[in-house]
Amino acid sequence: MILEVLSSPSLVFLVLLGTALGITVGAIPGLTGAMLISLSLPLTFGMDGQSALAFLVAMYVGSVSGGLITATLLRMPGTPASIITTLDGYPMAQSGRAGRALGLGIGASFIGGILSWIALALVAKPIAELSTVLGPWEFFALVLMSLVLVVGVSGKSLTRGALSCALGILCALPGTAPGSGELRLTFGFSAMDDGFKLLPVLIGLFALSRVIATPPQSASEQGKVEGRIVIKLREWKTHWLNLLRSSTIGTGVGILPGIGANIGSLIAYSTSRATSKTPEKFGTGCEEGVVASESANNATVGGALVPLIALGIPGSVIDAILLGAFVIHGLQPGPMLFANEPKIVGTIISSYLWANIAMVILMLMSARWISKLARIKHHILIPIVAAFCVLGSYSLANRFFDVWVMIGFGIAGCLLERWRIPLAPFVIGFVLTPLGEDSMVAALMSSGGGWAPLFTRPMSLCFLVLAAILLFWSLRQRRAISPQSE
Amino acid sequence: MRLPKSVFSIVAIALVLTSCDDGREVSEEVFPRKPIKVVVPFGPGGDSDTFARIMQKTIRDHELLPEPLVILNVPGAGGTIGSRRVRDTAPDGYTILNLHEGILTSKYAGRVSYGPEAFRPIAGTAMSNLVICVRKDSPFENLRDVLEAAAEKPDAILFGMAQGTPTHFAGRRLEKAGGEVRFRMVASGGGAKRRNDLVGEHVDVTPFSLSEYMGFEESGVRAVAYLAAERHPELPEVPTARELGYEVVMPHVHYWWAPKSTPDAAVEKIADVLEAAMKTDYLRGKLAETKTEPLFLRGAALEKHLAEREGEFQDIALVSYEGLPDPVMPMLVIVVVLGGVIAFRWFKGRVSSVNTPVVWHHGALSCLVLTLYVISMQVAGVSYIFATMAFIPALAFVGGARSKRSIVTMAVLGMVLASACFFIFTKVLVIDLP
Repeated sequence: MILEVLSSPSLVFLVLLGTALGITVGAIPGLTGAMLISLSLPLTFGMDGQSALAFLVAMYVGSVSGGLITATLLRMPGTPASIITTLDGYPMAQSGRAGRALGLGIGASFIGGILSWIALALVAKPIAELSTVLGPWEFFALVLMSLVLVVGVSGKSLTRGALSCALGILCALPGTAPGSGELRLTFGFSAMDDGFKLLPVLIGLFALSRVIATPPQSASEQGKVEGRIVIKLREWKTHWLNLLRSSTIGTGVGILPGIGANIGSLIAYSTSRATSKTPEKFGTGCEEGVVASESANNATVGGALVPLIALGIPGSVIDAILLGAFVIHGLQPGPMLFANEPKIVGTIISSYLWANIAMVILMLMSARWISKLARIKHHILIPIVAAFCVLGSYSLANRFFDVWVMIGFGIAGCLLERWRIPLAPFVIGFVLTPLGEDSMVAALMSSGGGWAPLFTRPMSLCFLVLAAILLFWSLRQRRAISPQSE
Repeated sequence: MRLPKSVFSIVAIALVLTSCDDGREVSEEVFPRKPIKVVVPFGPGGDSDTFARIMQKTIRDHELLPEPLVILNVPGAGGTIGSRRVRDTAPDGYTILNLHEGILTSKYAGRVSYGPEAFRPIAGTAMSNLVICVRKDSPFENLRDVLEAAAEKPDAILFGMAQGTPTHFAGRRLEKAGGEVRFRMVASGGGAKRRNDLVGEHVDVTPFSLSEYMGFEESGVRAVAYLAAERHPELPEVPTARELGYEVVMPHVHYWWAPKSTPDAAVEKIADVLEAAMKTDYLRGKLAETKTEPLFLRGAALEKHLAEREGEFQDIALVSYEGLPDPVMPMLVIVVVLGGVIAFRWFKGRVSSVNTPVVWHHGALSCLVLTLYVISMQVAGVSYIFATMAFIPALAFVGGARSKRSIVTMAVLGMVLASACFFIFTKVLVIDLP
């Protein structure tokens, strides 16, 4: 499970290439890892199964990591996984600590990846089995908890955070209602039958809004990378508890089907903030915030691979695409995979490890060079970002409707920013609503309409109590910091 | 501002490059003369996408068609976004649809108003059937136990399904076949979710597609019935529902559709190619791996098969579950209340609500350039390379680049970027850029 990749030069090359591609695509706002992997799936037809999976897994690792570069330097998360990183990474970069922010992010990503690799290699099977304890009620409670958390952690005002989250939920409602299968809020447009997709909404809010709002002739004076990017081992000491906790949370969240890296980093970030000695620094360029978010989002990748190779169950959207790659290459995913195809399982686990190693080397080597991005004149950078936003939204489903959605949310993002309404709760609310509503519908159908199990099922109650504690904590801290604030 | 000559020459080069497209006329005699687009109305990696791509590879490797098939994923709303696009496209045989019985379920679940009658069927290829499963340690020995228990205690056995899909219809048909049977339907979702709910004891019984079942077989899932006319040769121990006296058959077939008035020649040619592909050892081998039967239907046999299947769905009413809360109104109220609170505070001047100032005329100009860019491609049919080449320097100009040198640089950069993206996305990654 460690050395399989090193057995052939072509595998080493594919892992390197996949990681590099993943980092590049992850760093470009408008293009995401899911898009890269789904679009390159046909390219792997000509390869054997082992090479194909090594290549795809490497892309997966690279894309989750690459997003931190633009999230930190430009506050444009390249992928949904890096939304939370913008909260502290960007303020750090603005205050002249871009190099350190990148170094922390890269290092934390690597450690998160390695810790979840250990979980993947050692305890994949028992962990995957345990996750079935969580049914619709528990998923619904988990979504409620995440919504409470995101309102708590973002921005200075709770009211604004809540409004943003509610708007995000509202924007996720058009389309096909999960309970009845009927259309709602589509206003008669058949293009709206599927509602708004995440990608156009995300890149509209975060990337295109910057295109619109950036004043002309501005060259960013920030983003100058000073200081060391490689962070000394000694300095990591202060972060070890945070790293361990965030990676565990990330791995755990990754294992659950349908919940992505963005939620992993959100929960880890809120937990770090709640347990921190200096919670008031979160959101203003706090090192702990970057470490928590980046270690957790990389850990979800390893976590999401656990049910995929142990049970043949995809833990995330990208894993569902990997599942397709299994089938195309004549591999039957499932519990028998360990017994029937030990070589393939070994390759996947080993390429996950080496992709993380390749990621940290490639990113550290190129960080100083990449961070010049932030110093390119905006009138050069902005048109290119805009072109990628359009291309990315279009290629999601080969239709222009998504491009218009992206432009619409770009304008909306601009207005929200102007009214100081934070964007992170909007996106998290938007992402979680389908999962939350599906779970709520299934849960209510199974109980015959009663709400009682939400509070009587132990795991579900546990999530609710946890949410209440974390919310109370962050409220109290808020009050302690500034009694006059809203 | 005067644009320098070099910009015009770049534009001219791009025009020449992009006008070399195929302007060839479509002729009845020779079909096809250009690549055929196959719309797969689901995302990459799914069962439909995988099958279409295996078919594409077979046709390419065996040189069954002079032009390639191009797979185009148009996912969304249970396949209806893609099917609607093919229904409304030019009926020239160059755009076809690959869609399984989803075409029937979305009609009879009330999602769209059209069904198979809106298309011209080309062929039906490859068949597998649904498998009804329970937990490995379930007290139910077979399907009869399940249905009798559900008849004895109506609304007590939890049936996991995905709303409005064949799994939902299968549940309703089993209820009907069992007489006075009533399950409590639970919209668990896709295969992985249903397996999670089944093994975690959140539902009692649920159907899986054959390929899903093959994956879950060893992980706490047990088959009680195969919804087919005959037992599956690879699953000899699993009885069919029909053997137990319940007339429920739920096949899963990949159908190929063309727009309604597509000419015979094109439909026949594509059907010929698909038939030849289904006979190749490669495709047979791939189907055997997933235990799928190499069914092939066309012409009258296909029409008859589709009519039968439509009959099966027609008399099933999907009773939607009453008493689910509708989140639209509550969310609207919350948004209005919170927005009101913020607006009130702002009005009272207690907090400054405005962030760093936005340069409005610049924002509006950027939006205008962007809108023109998209409209030029969507409505005016300008090619991607040309539009992007004009867009990038234009937005740079809006963004404050005023010198000739920087405009020219951006134009060159735009051309390189546009050509590279066009090449990568259309030739390597198969995206249908204008």
